[in-house]
Amino acid sequence: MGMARDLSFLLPEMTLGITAFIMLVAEMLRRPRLALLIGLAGLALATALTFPVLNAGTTVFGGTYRIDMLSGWAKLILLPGTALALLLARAEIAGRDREGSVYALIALVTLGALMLSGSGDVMLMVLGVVLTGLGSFALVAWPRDDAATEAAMKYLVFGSVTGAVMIYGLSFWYGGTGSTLYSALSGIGDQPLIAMAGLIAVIVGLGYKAALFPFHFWAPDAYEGAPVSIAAYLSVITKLAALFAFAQAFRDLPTSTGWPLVIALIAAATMSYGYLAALVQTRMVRLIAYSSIAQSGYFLLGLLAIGGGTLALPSLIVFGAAYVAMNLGAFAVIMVAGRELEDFRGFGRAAPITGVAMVIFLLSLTGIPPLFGFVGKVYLFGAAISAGYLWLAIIAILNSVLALAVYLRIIVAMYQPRPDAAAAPGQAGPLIAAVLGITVLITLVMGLFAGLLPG
Amino acid sequence: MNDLLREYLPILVFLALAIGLGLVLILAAAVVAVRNPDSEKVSAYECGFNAFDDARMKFDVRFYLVSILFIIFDLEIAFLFPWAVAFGQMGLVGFWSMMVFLAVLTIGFAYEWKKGALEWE
Repeated sequence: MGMARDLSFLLPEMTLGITAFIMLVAEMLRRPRLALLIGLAGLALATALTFPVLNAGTTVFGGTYRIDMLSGWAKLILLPGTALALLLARAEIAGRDREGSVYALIALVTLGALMLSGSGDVMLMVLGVVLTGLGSFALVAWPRDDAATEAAMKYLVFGSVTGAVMIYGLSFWYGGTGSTLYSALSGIGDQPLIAMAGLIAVIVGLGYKAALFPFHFWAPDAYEGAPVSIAAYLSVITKLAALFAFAQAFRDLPTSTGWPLVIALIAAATMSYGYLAALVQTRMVRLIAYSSIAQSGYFLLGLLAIGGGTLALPSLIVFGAAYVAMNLGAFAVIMVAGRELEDFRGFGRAAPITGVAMVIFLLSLTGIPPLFGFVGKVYLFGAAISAGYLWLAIIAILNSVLALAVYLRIIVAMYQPRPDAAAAPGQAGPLIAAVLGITVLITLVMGLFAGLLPG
Repeated sequence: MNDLLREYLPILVFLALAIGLGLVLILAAAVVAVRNPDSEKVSAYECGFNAFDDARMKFDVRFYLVSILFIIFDLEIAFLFPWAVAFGQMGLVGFWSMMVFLAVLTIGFAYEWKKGALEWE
């Protein structure tokens, strides 16, 4: 029967949802380690359950939820990424009060992220934005000190306003098509004003979540106030989810509404602004926050090809996987070395192995061959050129030069002599070492085996 | 498109009626009513004792938490009533769907209780 068929395609999501609630119970019983283990087991099970539905290419619940290539690969990226983020969180907050609630919240936010990347309906997208948003605010505010509260407050106010604008604008799409389904959008081309109102709404709501210029202001503040591991999580999982949701929405939106040009302009502004701002930062968390804003701009190159070009979804998926590995890895090194750029002075000499890992992540973020980030960027540039946006690809390549300046600044500092007054850098504990090992492996090996990737 | 708009015509009529009725009542009060103010009549309304403060004061933020918790359980009832009325036609799927919903809600309730969200101090 229909219901059972639909639910069978949602096994990964249901597994994750049930896991999150069991984690809440474990936290109630004051067993945070149990909550962590349940979370890891649930994420592994959900990942395994994704493989049977990976190439299903169908929709469930009347077209509102898409089980397609994008949502399948999104699960394969987001679920393991969440597991790595859980390990980082454990390394940072083990033994502190309310520890288990962080793990449960992370699982719930990832559930929202899966909803976003599979949404085939405006209402499901709104639900995903709200679910990821509410959990993220609580995660940022978790330390309960002044910095975290201020960061969470900014995040919350920004999120509420953009969320309200988004829901208001989306009502125009509903008014114009008489349906909340994305698939109804294909006929909206003859109502340009209505199409534009909804487009602005989507860009405001999801652009905020993906930290696109000019909706990025919350990102450096929120990342700085939150625990480093939470910043790492937010900078990859919720950002990717928003970009995947963009892809789902724009797939049915006719290009005659002019959305590719709008996205192209935002992409150019986001890349350039992110790297220019990163160039003058002195705190590592803020620097990586601005660099991750710039990386969002690169993702938009792949998005452009959805309107008429090849490689759109493969480029988003490949660079998404690369971005999760290298950004989580870079944040993991920050957890070891310290939050200030000054903490990195001489770090490469004092902790050679971790230092080399950081160099690999930074070079991969820049897009140096043969690392995974380079492969992802090749896909993205190819997608943008196939969509006819050669000028944007040129801007992106020029920005890669700027990126080199940003990341070299860290690398150079790492191999300067360490100041005498500086304490010896902390050692990477077993959890952080495990995360670093996995992310380095992915960044190195996946670059060499790029031929096996989809598309 | 026109069919779609026609379906919304009752809402337009309703809006017009609501605005019209509201305006008539306010204007009628302004035109017809007897006015004879004194200090008792214009002070803030209190039940059972003399007014001692302005009605527009700050409320403790904890009231906000209580009202949010109230809304959650209010909505639960709003779900449960139609479910109970149509229970005979729904069969096992309907029954277990609601059980899952109630289980989620109960875990949330137990969590907030355990975390002290229901303590006033």
